[in-house]
Amino acid sequence: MGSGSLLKISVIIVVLMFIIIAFIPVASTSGVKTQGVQTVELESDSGTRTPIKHVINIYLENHSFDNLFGIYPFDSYTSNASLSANLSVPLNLLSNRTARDMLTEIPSGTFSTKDPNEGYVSYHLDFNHGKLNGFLNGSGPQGLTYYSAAQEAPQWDIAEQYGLADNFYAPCLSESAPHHLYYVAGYSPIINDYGPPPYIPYSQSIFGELSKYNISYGVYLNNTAYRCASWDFLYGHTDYSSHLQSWNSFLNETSDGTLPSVSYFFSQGTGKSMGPPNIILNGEMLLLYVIDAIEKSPIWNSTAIFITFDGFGGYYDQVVPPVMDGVQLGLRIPLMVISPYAKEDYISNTQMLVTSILGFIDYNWEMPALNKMVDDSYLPLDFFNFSDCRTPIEFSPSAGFPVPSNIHFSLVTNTSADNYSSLFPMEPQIPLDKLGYNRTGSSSVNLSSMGVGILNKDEHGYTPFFESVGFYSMLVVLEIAIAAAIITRYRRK
Amino acid sequence: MAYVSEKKEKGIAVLSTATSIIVPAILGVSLIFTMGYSSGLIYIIGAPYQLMSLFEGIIAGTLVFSFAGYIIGSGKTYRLFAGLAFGVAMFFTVYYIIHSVDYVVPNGLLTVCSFIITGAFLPVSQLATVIYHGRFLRGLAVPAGISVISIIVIAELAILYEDSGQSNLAQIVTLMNSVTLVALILMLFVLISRKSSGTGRIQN
Repeated sequence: MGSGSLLKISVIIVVLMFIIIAFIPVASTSGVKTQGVQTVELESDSGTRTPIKHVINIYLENHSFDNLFGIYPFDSYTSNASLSANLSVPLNLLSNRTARDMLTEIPSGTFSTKDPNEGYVSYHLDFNHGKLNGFLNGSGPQGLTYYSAAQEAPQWDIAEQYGLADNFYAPCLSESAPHHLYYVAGYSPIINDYGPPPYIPYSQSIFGELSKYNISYGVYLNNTAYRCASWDFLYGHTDYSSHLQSWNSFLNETSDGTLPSVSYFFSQGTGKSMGPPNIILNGEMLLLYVIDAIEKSPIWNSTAIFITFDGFGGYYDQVVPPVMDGVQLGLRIPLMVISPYAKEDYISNTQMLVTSILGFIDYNWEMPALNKMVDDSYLPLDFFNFSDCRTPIEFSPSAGFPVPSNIHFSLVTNTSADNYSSLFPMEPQIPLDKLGYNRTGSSSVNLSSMGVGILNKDEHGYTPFFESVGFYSMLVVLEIAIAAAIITRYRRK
Repeated sequence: MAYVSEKKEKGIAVLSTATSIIVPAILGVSLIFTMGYSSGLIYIIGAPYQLMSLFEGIIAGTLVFSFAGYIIGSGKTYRLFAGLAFGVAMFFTVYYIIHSVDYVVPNGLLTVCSFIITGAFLPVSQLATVIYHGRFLRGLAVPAGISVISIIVIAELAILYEDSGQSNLAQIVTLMNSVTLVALILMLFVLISRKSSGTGRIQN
């Protein structure tokens, strides 16, 4: 091919590219309008299937089940061994000596570890095709650890007084961002913290569904400028910014009884999320403060609190996670359920993940399942005994619980003298032998079995044209064409 | 008059060298980021412990392919097409590797992938040899310059990307491609205007 024809081809390509670039965005932008910023139709103002009128979701960070509840409820320092021995025991390291011997107990006075190597690759190396023996190559030896009552007593007390799930899985083998998306949308178009794009259209999230059905909701961050994947990765979220509120708003609305029906409370980005290398005591203090505020509020009698973590964080867990709807789930993470209707000392064996919480919201407010995974997820109904409304359990500072005086408390940095073991176990609110239900169990109810229908059958991340691979490919072709034209010009000279 | 003319020629030579280094460097960086974005390589990086492996591949690859492109040169048109085809093949190789292992790319393989993806610097360096017309030893400064500038820019953008919480890659890719397009269009415009004003090719 001669240099003259090379030049002509280059010029033709350049002209064609400009024409394509000029016209294609118009079509793409119109697509955005219909998909991302969907017109909200107010369909109904429905009641609830249960006495629960407020669901509060509290999201902590990066711990596996065995890392926090690996030896629950055994406490080597306890003065009440007989009570401890009578509590329900989840599937944990107490029944797996081999796994326990492989791990290291974090000593009293230590409330953090070096951050395990986080990421999609590390966690898949840990997982090693289900063998769970790659932690030294993946997350590192710091992932092979577990806490005891010396650090975990407040959370163990919550589990003892209310409910704990021991078959609850992270939705994927990766780090925070995809977990956040599963948490609020029941799927993730991304596999790692990178993003967006792709975004998830707001209408495909639980917030979009709640808007559609005219059910109030709020998203609460310590700092609303903090970039939270659960909010910022939703395309069109700026149109709903009135729902994004601060922790102070959460506390005010809780105390005056105006908290929305569904609340999402995020601890991330504060040093109080329990995520390593942060000191978990700060996260426990935050948790106690928030629970105390809810328990003292007028909404307590109609509230369910779901507390869980945005991933297992590279910490070992002994259970090989299952595959659900073609998705390889991540390792087990804790789920604690607090409610006046929550069973006491209850261990749920129901196989669940965060889509089960979405399913509960859909179930409670009689909405269709947000998507197929939500439809297929078992509901956490076995945690509840709706015939009994319990008074709140007080986690009092006078009893030694580290409840801060303010939600914006200064972070604790020196914990060397702290051992909270004496706080566990608490005396049960209802004597264990007087409970009218089993203290372990499971639920086999899902929305699919109820035939409620599915809201979003099309789950695809959304990438605006100007951020798409197609757009960038066009730019590259354009650059190559211009470079070819330059080469041709130089050669002709 | 002779002094002025000599000074002007030196100025043109400096401009020629700068153009033949900077324009290909930004083009190379644009291509690397676009290829990383399009191949999915970006999905698997981000953790601090991956930094060394990633940059080992980028530094080695940028140097190797920049010099290779310079040595192969652009004397024949087929060499340019071969260089371009090589860059495209490298992109698809990385794409294939990443997808064949379901994005589970350990550090060793990450180094290999980041090395391969810098294959784009081979045709970019060939472009530089067309623009630059210096002597051989001075000419080696061109691929060296392209490599050093590119590595610095990639490192800067990587820091920016990490600092923003791995959120603004699309903006970075858009920015780099925009700058590249403007630079290339300016070059083309200057060339065309030189022809119309009767100015000859830049000579050193």
